[in-house]
Order: sequence, then structure tokens, then C-alpha cells
Amino acid sequence: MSRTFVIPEPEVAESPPFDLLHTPVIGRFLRWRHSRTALQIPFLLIGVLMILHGLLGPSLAPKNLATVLTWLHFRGVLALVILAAGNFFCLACPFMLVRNAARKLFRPRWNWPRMLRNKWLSAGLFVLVLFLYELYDLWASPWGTAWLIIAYFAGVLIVDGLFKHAAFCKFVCPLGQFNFAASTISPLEVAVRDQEVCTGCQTKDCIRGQRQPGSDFVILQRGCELALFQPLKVGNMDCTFCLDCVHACPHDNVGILSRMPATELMVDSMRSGIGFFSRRTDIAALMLVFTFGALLNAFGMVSPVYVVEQWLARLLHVTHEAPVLATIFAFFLLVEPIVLLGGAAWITQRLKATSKGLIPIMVRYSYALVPLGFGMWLAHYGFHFLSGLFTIVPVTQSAAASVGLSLGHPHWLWVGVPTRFVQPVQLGFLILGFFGSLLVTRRLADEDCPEHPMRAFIPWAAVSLIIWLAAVWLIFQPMEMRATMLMSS
Amino acid sequence: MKSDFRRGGPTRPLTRRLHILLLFIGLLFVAACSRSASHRPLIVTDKEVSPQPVHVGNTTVSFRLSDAGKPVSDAHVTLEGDMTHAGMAPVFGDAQEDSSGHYQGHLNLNMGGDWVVLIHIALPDGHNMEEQMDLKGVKSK
Repeated sequence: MSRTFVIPEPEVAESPPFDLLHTPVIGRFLRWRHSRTALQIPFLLIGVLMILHGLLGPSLAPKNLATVLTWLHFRGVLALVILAAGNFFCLACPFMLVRNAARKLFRPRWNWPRMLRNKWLSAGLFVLVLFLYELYDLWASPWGTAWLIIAYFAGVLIVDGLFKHAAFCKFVCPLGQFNFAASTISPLEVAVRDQEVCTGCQTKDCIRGQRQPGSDFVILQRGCELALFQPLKVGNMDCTFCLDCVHACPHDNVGILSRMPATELMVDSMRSGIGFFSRRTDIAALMLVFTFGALLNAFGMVSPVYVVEQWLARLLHVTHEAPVLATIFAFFLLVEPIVLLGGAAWITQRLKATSKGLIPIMVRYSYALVPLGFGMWLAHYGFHFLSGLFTIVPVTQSAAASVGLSLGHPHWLWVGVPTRFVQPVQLGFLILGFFGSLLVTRRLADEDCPEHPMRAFIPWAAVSLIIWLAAVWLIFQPMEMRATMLMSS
Repeated sequence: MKSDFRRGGPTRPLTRRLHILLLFIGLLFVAACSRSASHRPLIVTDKEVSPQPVHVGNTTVSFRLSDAGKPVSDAHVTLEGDMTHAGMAPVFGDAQEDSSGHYQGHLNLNMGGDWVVLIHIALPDGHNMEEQMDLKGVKSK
């Protein structure tokens, strides 16, 4: 079957963007065919260590590698790397190394079901992970954390063992969806260097891959497993930075290029493998889970959550935490977005800023909240990462001692950056996110209502302001690292 | 279009080494977890924390130490308070014997939330033990 690709006209750039692949050390390493495997192997080893220590090591979370690495260092570094560069954690994903090894034994036979080719399942799983995190106090449970990692490995093997391409990454992985949403803010993207080269390309190896001549069964180099055709790809959504397209392109025309962060949220062009953002209610829902989930996740760690949970427990006449948590989740992830976005969309309509319906307006502007949501994740994860930065040292010393290796006496007082220095950093992330959201909102408003952009801008800027104020209030609340909420009710 | 995802290339030697390394790590952990423990019948009873309800600030921890029903004196006891969430600074304190076999010490709990208090006990004969107390829901002031 032949397909015709319509490639956009090449744009004349004022100056060529920075290309990470052209840098001497990092660029050379990333261009190496086995760079991904080389990054995945240490991550896999660390993952195995975390599982073993989580299951067999100390049950106290601050003394276990599984909890310390997962809930302090991994989350913090992941968010900071996405902010500073791009989705490099998907590049180094150890689950894919195991999957690739398993696929040498079991060939996937089916295509991912058509009705599940969207983000509803993964957004639901994202919510489920947040819910389980709160319900089972995963941050305080090395055993639970180890089983979460094991479940992830099992999930990858089952899904990608049965279904072709990168079904797990694109349609299932909750962590991947977090990375996709956050990396819309990243300053780097995998993109073509010169559109004209793609216009003249006959092979389209970046998506088709390269097969052994005479055999369709042996793939020498994969093309994009996430169905992103490079010349039509826009931004980082669904891009795992696997660099298969870089290695597949026979013209060496794919790079890791610099761009203005969040620009992909400001445009609504046709995206390869995705379509139009404005028509993807599932992606918009994912973005809302990402944004309001950031507030919810932080709310679970501060003092007022005690009062709210106990009030709800009395109101609902329950003693188990699950129904109480479910109510809080419903408020944060359903009621709050519907009221805020619905209200703003209604006002936008009343002001005649656009002729679109309520839902399309809500979908369109939900993308503008992503920078704010990412700012909140950064503030939250950044707090734990920075305030617990050095705890990895005594925990590693202790873990080594438990297997007979001496790395010195554990320095348990090595903790991290004092809170008084971390809080301004948190505030900085929130301010950055707030202005990012305002910028995206303004661009969308300019496009919707060129004559009177403020009519569209003001209601949505107000939504951003409300969320921002809530986020600032949250980070200045006293932290209460609670586990069992209802023990005194 | 049929597809498989076999990929050529020299990753196999690395994979083989990886198996050996994983096996080695696993054996280390199994060895570590199979070390024999001492079975001396030391018992920590009457563990108490005050004031109640526990809130941020100075907290008194007391307990009774006995060996086959007899009070154990002259133990060196240190207290360690850890939050259940990783990444928070632990707090330390010493406990003194205030009557035969009864020990009391102080910890300055510096944050609201769930704490775990570890009581590290060292006896004059070189025997060591560790006891754990959970302090859930320490109130912020």
C-alpha cells in the first residue's frame, strides 16, 4: 500500500538551532548506536538493587534504597532533567531493555486494540498510581515500592509481549504520560534539521525502519514505534527520545534541537501520531490530571489534609481511608477542573471571544495549564530532592554494610539543603510555571480573538491565578509526612 | 505488514555479563539476610511517650528493659527518631536509667507527621538490640 506524505514547506530559520547531537561528548555518545542500551543497563542494575533492598532490606523508608531513590532522587532528577533538557528518562528506561530482551523470545502478535488507542487508559492509570501512593503510603513502604517496580516490569512484559510496537509507552505507561506532558515544556526536542531533505526522501526510514534486504522479518533498525513521522512531528508529545529515528534516518537529518519551551502548547497544527490537540479530549484530560494531580499530590503531604480527611470520615461515617481519599480525588480531579474550566469557558463564550462550544474551549485551554502543573510538580519533587539530597550516601553505606561491603560508617545526619533555601526555589518554579501558563494562554487568546484577545485571556488567566495561589498556599503549609490518616478519628 | 523487533548488534556479551552481575547481587542479599541472630530473651516493655497527644517539640520516651523477667541495668541506650518519609533529618538522643531497668530519654521531634522511634540498646556484655516504636500523627503545633 503506498502512502503519500504531505510535508510542510520548509521554514527559513534566522539561525540554526542548537543541536545536542552536534556537541562533542554528549552528542557523540548519543549518536552511538548502542547509547540507549548503555544508559539502560545502569538503570536496570539500580532498579534490581532497589527491588532487592525494598524486599529484603530495612523496612524503614529513610533507610531503604527503594524508597529513597524512588521518592526522592528519581522523581526530583527526572523533573529537573525534563525542565533543563528533555525526556531523557524515557530514553534510559530500563523497562524497555527488559522488553527488548523478552521480544527476542516472544514475538508480539497483535496490534493494540483500536478503542484503546488514546490516553484514557493511561490517564486512568496515572490517577490510579496517585491513589495507591496515598492509600498505601508508598513513600513509607520499601516493600510496596519494590512491588510497584516489579508490577511495572510485569506490565511492560505483558503488554509489549502481546502487542506490537511501543503499545506500553504510548497507551499504558503512567510515568511515560507524566514525562510526555512535562516535556512539552522542555527546551529540546527530537526534530528534523532540514525539512527539504525530508521532502526529497524516498525511504521514510525514520518511521518504517530498515529491514534486512530480502526479509521483512529481520529489522536492522527500528523506525519510530510510537508512530511519529519526523517531518510531521510537532513537539515532544509521545516522544520517548529513543533516538530510533536518529539512527534510522539515512540522511542524518534528525537531531535533538533547541526550541522555545512550551511552544508546542501554543499551536494547534496537525501532529503526526497524535492529530490536533484541540480534537483530543483524552490528551486534554491527561493534561488536567497532570495539572490538578500536582496540587492533589502535594495536598496529601501538608497539615490541612488531616482536618479534611477526618471531617470527611465523620461526614461519610467511614473509618477506612479509601472512600475518604476517593472523595478528595473526585474533588481535585473532577469537581475542581469542571468548575474552574467550565466557568472560564462559559465566560469566554459570554464575552464572545470565540464561537466554539464549551467543551472545545475547555479542551483548548486545558493545555495552557500544563506549565503551571509542571511548576507544581517541580516545586514538590524539588523540595524532596533538595531537602533529602545527601541521604543517598548513608543509605548506600548502610546497604553496602548489610552485604559485607564497608563504605564507612553511615552518616545519617547527611540530609540535604536546608528548607529555608529550598522554599525560594519552590516559589521560583511556581512563578515560572505561572508565567508559562499566562504566555500560552495569551497566544491561544490572540489566535481565538485577534480583535479582542483580552476577552479570552482574562477568564483563563484568572483560572491560572487561582491555581497558582492554591499552589503557593500549599508550599507554605507545614509539612506533615503522614501515613495513616484516620487512626485518631 | 509483519514485524518483529529483533535488532542486530553487539549487545549480547553485555547482556550475558548482566546476568552474572544480577546473580551475584542476588546472592549477596541472600547471604546478608541469612546471618544468624542472637536469641537472648531481652524484652522491652511499658514503652511510653509523653506528652500525649504527641506534637512537635521535646518528647519523652520511656521503657522498661528485662531479661527473663529480671530488670536489666547499666545498658547504654540511644534514641533515634526517623520520619516515615525518606529525606528528612533523623533526630537523636540518649536515654538514662532512672530506676532499676527503667530508662527515659528525650527526642526533639521537629516536624509533624508519622515518626518511627528506634531504641538502640547496648549491654555491658556486648550484646546489642534494637526496638521500634511507631508514633503516628505527630501534630504540628
